[in-house]
Amino acid sequence: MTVRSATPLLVVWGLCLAVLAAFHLAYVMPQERALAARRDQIRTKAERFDLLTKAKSPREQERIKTRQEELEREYAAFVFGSEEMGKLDFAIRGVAEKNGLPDFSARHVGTTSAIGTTKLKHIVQREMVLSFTSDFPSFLHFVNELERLQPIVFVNQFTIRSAPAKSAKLACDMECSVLCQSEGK
Amino acid sequence: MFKIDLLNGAELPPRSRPLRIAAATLAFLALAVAATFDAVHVYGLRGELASRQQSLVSHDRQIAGLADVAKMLETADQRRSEIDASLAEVSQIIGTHSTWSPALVALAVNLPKGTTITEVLAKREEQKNALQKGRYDHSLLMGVISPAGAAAVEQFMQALRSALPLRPGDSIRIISQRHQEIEGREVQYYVIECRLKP
Repeated sequence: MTVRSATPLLVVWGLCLAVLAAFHLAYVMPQERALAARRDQIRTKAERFDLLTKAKSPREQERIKTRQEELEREYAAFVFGSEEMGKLDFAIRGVAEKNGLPDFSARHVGTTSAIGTTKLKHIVQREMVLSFTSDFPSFLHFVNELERLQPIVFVNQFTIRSAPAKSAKLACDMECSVLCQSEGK
Repeated sequence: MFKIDLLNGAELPPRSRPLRIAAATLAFLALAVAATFDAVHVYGLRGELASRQQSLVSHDRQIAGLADVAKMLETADQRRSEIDASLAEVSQIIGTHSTWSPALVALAVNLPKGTTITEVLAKREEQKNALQKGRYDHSLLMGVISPAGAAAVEQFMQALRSALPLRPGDSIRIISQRHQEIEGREVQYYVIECRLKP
């Protein structure tokens, strides 16, 4: 066998190797990748199935419900829902009456949906102005009770000054705000 | 030694090269083994893929059977995300507010006898500095009259230094004072500012 006679054999062998390599790259490797992907899918589905099976048990349903209620309670301690918002004026008037502020008045003045330059997406602050006359102890009790209301009422700022008439009463103006769910939510 | 070749080398039988033949055979044999291995591997892969596909379909069927539970979980997760996002904003907002009742109690408790607070202004102002936007200053401005003299006012301010949560530095100071006549009496009127901690 001379070099000349071996050349066709080498060419054939090279072609066979090339075909084998091409088959491996073009068919075998994609199949291996598809199998790996399928294994991942099955693992994910199995985990999801386990999760759902677990969530179906009465004990787990109870746990989810309790957790949800806790979260809703925490939310409701700070944010006025539309139903509570309707009761806000009555709640504040109730506190005012309890503290003997007969000439109490309140008006809503607008909303703020940003802190500085940060726009808020979920919450807006609804602002109102309260005016009344009171003595100092009643004023103090009123502020304290407002600050302990739930959902929370923020006393932003206030002015108290001696009433112009000769009386022991103080004229009070107060800016308050409450948190409400944003309209779009 | 002489070589007699009457055909001038044209019809000499080729010389046998056993090593080359063995090498060529081995090379082709290696290819054949590799091809067989790949073919078996592919057969196995196809079988496993088909069985995994069945398994996937079976899992899908099982999951579809729990659609109501999945819906319930999805709703709960969605609501939880909403509440978490809202509470994060609530937390930011709370950081910009202050409670005033402890400060008012401190004023009432520490006011010396004979001294009167005539007015109080509780202020919440956004900081002007662009870098501090979204942060608020809280301060109390109060008008105090003290027929007992400046000593009582100084004592009052000293008491407030320890009773109020003041910002560090010169956070309590008299910003103005003047004579004032109240009910026929000359009294000194002070305006005191207390800058509170955020």
